[in-house]
Amino acid sequence: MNESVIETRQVTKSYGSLQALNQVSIHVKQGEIYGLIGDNGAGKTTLLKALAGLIWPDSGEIRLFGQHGEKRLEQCRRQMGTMIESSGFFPSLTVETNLEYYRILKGIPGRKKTAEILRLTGMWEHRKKKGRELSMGMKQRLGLAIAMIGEPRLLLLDEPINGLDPSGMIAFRNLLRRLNEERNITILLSSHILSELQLTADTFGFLSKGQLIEEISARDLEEKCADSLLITVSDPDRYAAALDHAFPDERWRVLPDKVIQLFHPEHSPEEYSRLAAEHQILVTGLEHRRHSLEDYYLSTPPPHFPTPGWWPTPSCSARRPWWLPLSSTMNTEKTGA
Amino acid sequence: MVALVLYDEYRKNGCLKNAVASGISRVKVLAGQLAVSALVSVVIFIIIITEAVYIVGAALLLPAGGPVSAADMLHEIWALLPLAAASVLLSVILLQLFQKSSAGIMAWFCVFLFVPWFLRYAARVWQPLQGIAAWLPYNFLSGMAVNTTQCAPIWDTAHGLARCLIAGGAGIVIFGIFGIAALSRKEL
Repeated sequence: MNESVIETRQVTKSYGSLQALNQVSIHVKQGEIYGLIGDNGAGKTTLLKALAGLIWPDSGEIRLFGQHGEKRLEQCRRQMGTMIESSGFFPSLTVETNLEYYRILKGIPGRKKTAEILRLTGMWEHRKKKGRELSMGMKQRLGLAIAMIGEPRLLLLDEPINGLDPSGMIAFRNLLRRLNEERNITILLSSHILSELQLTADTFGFLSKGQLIEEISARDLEEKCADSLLITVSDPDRYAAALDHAFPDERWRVLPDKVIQLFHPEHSPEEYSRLAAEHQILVTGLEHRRHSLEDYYLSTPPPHFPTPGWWPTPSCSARRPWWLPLSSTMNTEKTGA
Repeated sequence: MVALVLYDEYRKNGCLKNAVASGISRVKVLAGQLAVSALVSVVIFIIIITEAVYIVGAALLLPAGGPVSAADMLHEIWALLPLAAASVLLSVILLQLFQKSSAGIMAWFCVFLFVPWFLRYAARVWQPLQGIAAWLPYNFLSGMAVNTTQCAPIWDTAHGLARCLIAGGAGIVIFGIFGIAALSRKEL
């Protein structure tokens, strides 16, 4: 059984009246890639900063490699590499000099280590470039290279693929996978690009408004995402109302083109068809679909009441996540009936 | 100036975060910065400002020797070194403490110029402040008779030299304790 590299117990952090973290307890095992998912302001960066020792929680406990207490955590952080908010390099220095600076700072002997890290992160050809001359993708790679100096056992990466183009994202993802598989480095990364995270992480933690909603492994997510039923009906509003009345525990949302998507349907397709028939509603399509991480994220309920402007009418159940902005694919989406 | 040149880029690019997140204590980082700043300041003070600029400039531009000798310059170094170190120390601390460089610079001016100036005039109204005002460098250095015809710096007397050294030493201790207390718990 893999030991926990990171463990937080009821960590809470407030900034004035804003509660950035509310009793967050996460568990990151040795050798896994843990994806921290949440919207802007969910608390991802705050949690990473608390783990890195940049801020102090108001309450709760942080354990790294099984150790806790400020002095011991400081020792444990020597086995950690981070890239939080900014890469922390000097724009006026070359890539190589930046790495040399951090190598000396961390007390690592021998310039060979710098060359090794440059080659590993694909920055060898750019080693003579100044920091300010680098593209966005190269800056992220340099940040990762800085984090890798010192052969860390754990990497904390805060939205490392932000601002990267598609090929940059793929390259970065492959690099992280390689580091994890070849060097058994545990990686905790945060992102709100769900599609990328789904291809990278082994375990997912969902954060919303400072609270950890759920922790789930990729395997469990695979099983949970198995079921989604798409029903195309002639009158989605009436059908939604009927669904709410007949099956109040069901979770669903209305999509464009008169489609209702049921998450983890608890009844058979025949029962849903019969319900439509009972209300003189025509069913024109029925399809089973597998969820993506995005679908699963959208179906996960928030831990709080939505703001009044977004609250659906009393006759409707809150099915569409209130924080979900209307997109081009869902511009006719309604809240639950 | 020394603190700005050495550490402004460091602060603006968030380099301290990487150091702290790698398990290096903030006190150690601060101590290192102060040591480097102090060393650089001493080099500048001794070689460039005192020796090279003044002496070479005077030798080239002045027809006569003037009231200041090279020995006076050397004596000045030892008298003002602790004060210079305290000033650099405070600069490094304030630049780390404030988000903006301008705020740090303003705070430095407050400590070294505005507060002494205010206390000097406030002491005329309330006598107990006179003792404090007299020990602040701006107040005891600004009244010196140093010009093209005479040179009577405060450190020429034993009492004055002691005042410079004690004020400088006290500044180093006070600012050092303040810096460690303020920066060791500053959230990044």
